[in-house]
Amino acid sequence: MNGSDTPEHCLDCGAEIPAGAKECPTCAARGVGSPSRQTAVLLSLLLLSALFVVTGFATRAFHYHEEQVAEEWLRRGEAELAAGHTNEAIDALRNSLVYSKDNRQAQLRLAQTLAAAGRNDEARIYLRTLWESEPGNAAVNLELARLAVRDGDVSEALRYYHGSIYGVWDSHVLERRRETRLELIQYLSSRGLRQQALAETLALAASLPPDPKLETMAGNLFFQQGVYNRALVQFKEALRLDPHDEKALAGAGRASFELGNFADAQRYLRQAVRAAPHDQEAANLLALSASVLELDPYAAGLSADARAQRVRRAFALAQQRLTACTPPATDARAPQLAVLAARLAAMKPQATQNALRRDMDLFDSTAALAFEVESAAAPVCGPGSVDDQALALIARVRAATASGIIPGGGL
Amino acid sequence: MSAPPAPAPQAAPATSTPAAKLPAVKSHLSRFFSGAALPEGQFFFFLSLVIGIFGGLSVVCFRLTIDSMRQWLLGSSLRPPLPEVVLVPVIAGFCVALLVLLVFPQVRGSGVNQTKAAVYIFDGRVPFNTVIGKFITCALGIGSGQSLGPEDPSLQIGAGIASALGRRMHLSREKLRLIAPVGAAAGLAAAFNSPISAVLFVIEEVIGNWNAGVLGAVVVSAVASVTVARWFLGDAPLFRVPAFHLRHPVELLAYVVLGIVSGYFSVFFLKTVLTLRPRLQKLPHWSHYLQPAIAGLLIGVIGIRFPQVMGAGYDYIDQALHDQFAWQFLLLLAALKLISTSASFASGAPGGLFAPVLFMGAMLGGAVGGFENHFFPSLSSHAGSFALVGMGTLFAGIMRVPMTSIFMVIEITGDYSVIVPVMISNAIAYFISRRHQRVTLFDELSRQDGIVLPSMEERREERPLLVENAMRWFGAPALAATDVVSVARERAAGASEPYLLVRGESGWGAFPSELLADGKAASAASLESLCTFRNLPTLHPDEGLETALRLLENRPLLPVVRRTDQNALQGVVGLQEILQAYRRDEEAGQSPPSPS
Repeated sequence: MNGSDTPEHCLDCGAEIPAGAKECPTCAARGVGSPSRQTAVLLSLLLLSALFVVTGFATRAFHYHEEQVAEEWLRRGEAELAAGHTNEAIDALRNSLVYSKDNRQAQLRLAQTLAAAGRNDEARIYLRTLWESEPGNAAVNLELARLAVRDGDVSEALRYYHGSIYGVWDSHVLERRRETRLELIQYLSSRGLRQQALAETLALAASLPPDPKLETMAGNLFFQQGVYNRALVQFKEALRLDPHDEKALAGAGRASFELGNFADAQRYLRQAVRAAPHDQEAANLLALSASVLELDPYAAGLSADARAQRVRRAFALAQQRLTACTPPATDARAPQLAVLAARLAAMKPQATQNALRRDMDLFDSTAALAFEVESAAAPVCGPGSVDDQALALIARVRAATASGIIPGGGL
Repeated sequence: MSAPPAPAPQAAPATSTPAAKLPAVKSHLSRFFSGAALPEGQFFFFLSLVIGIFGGLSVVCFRLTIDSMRQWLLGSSLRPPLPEVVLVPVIAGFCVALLVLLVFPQVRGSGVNQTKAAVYIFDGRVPFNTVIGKFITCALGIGSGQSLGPEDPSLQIGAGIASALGRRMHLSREKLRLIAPVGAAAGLAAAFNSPISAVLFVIEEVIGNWNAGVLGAVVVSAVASVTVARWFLGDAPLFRVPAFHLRHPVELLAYVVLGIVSGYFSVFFLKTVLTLRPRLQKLPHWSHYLQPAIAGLLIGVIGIRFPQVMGAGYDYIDQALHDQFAWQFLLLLAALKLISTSASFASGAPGGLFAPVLFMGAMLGGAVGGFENHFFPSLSSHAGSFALVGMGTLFAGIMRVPMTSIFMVIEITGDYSVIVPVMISNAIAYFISRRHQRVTLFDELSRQDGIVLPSMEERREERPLLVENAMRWFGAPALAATDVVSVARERAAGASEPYLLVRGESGWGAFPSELLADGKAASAASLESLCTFRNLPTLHPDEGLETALRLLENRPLLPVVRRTDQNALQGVVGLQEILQAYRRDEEAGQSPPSPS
């Protein structure tokens, strides 16, 4: 290819060098002389240094510009998000990531926005990428948990929720962990996983700082899970920290009520209603508690006379209840009520004050019939008056006590 | 002056004063900079380092310019607004055409075959205005959305800088021819941020063999270049690669499918580019001013709905690697990229094919992976792994550099567990591409331009003829130097060999067999004294025929002996046998004859 008979070409300009000529005639004509190697090396090193400096400045300026562009897109994304323009926000956040690939905040924000837009698969990809590089990132774990919740994948949800609870938060660590655990408890409760929800609630309660609001929140959680005795403990703790906390008072009243401690319930609820007169639920419970305390023929410390009077009153209430309640003939439960009405009518002559005072069997059977009437009438005729509700409640508490069940005594 | 005379410099100790040291230091520096202190080979290494740094810096500037140009022309959004997305590629395409046709006519194409031509035809000379032209036109073209990449131009820019430095440093013609690949490796390494792949590519595609003395210099420049690039651009890899897991060996079947699909896709792309390019070149000259603009218009129209096809597309490769597209969309993107890249490249817009090939590979791989994942979930893992392997597979099919394609994926991922699927699918794609397109892309592009460059693929696969392919059985016993003539005559009776071989203490010798019959032979002291050829060089069956030819000189034959026993004659080789072996090889085509 480059044999001896091929013409020589100038290494500088590429022109053909005639045979016998020592230098390129074109370069010689232009007066271009090649500097010596020494000069060339020196010039090259000088040029290299200059280029290094220029490139350094250019790179710095370029990176600064890219950071600015990324920030601007991130801001725009947030603004679009605030305006409810999800798709525009996604585009803006994606643009931001082009100029700042490793910006975790933008990645997470984009994933959250994608998830909010229902684009779960895309969100999951960003989150998985973040998770792979930082498995202990609590915020990423939380978003993945929420995606798992949407997918109905309980084990994945639990895994990521725990990853979030025990992971690393940037700020407000305890608050974030608590909120996450709360979210997990609500999820577990919604899935009917009572034991797991309870375990998480216990863990939550154990890690609470001395704050009446938080204690009340924990009490409410226990209450929702039907663990009234543990709920009462939390409400009492809240009241110890702030005796006038109306929510804690109401909670303690409700928990005591559910536990059958109507006297305590009345005490707490009375304070709660005094502190928050608008709390209708507390007011209703207070009325009910008062009625129970007033009507319960088995209450401790009553004389035989007083017991007999209470049974007679219960009997009368039961009679009024059936008189006031006339279910349609087509209702399947109507015959049962008719039988109870007949039994009431049959017992009425026997249920005198004296007889009830002397005969404990009559006392029990009369009370039992009154309770049975109230219990049977409630589903057909509605809750009835406060006294009717109180009688039905006393009936339930007595039945539970008789079968050995301690109401709300899960723990 | 009353001051005492200064002592003579030679009388003072060498380290007495700084003033006395200065001339020595100056002399040393002067010798170093003039290259006199370094032999040519060592100076070449030093220059490789300088070239590497220059290459790295220039590629950093090149990338910054492309990105800045993109932002300036199309804005910073991934979805450029409608007027820009259509108008900018058209206007920029026209400007690029003007620059290429009127100012920088040598910057057309990717730059790889031009660099090869510089090495094999122009004594390593790459005109420096090519570097400037490539820099400007590629930055404008790629920045405006032409579907081309910056890697191949970086390779040519590196080669151009190396060539310019080599000329200024007055390198010998031999070294100057080798300097372009050194610069090419520097440019490619910085552009790819992967020195191993760059070195392998230059060896596989530009130099063609591993024996070249330039290998060390290529490595030095590639490492220097990557170091500089990482200094300025950070050491983040080109793509964020997800973790690769091969769940079950059965999954490899899915990669076989990927290899087959990529192989045929490669063939289709190669045929499209190699058919379209000459047709466009044959159109009237005035149309050449419009071709890049028309390609730009096509890309702009596609870009309205699919902006992913514009430019190099690294961000979208990254997204494909992370499963962020549905498989149908990935397939569509691969097809659209094929159309836009073919149009851009064939129109004469300067720019490289590496990035588009990686883009198509990632999209196609992701599509195959997504499809298999959807319909055969037990067969494949997540599609991102397929996108990753797909990049290497299509690279193997289109560029036909098998080693580079494998190591590129490994270097990008930093994970050796990916090697088995990559090897499987790359090999399949490579063989399918080779079967349907005999000449490689860059060689065919050169041929279309009227230059026949040596095919590196053929050179890699050349199997030299060996001594065992030519040697024949020796039809006479090997005689011992101590044999008396009468015994030797008896032993050689009936042999038809024109020469007889004698094994003596000083090695093998040979004499014409008719000498034994001669009456004078009886008076010879020993057989050794009869030898007309003494100290014959010996050959082994696994040695090349070129070695045999060199050693044969004017000797009638050479003994072929065992490597384990230099006295055990296995056969002989003469000029006749060697020529016959070459003739047989020629007749049999590519395959060498079986050993006799």
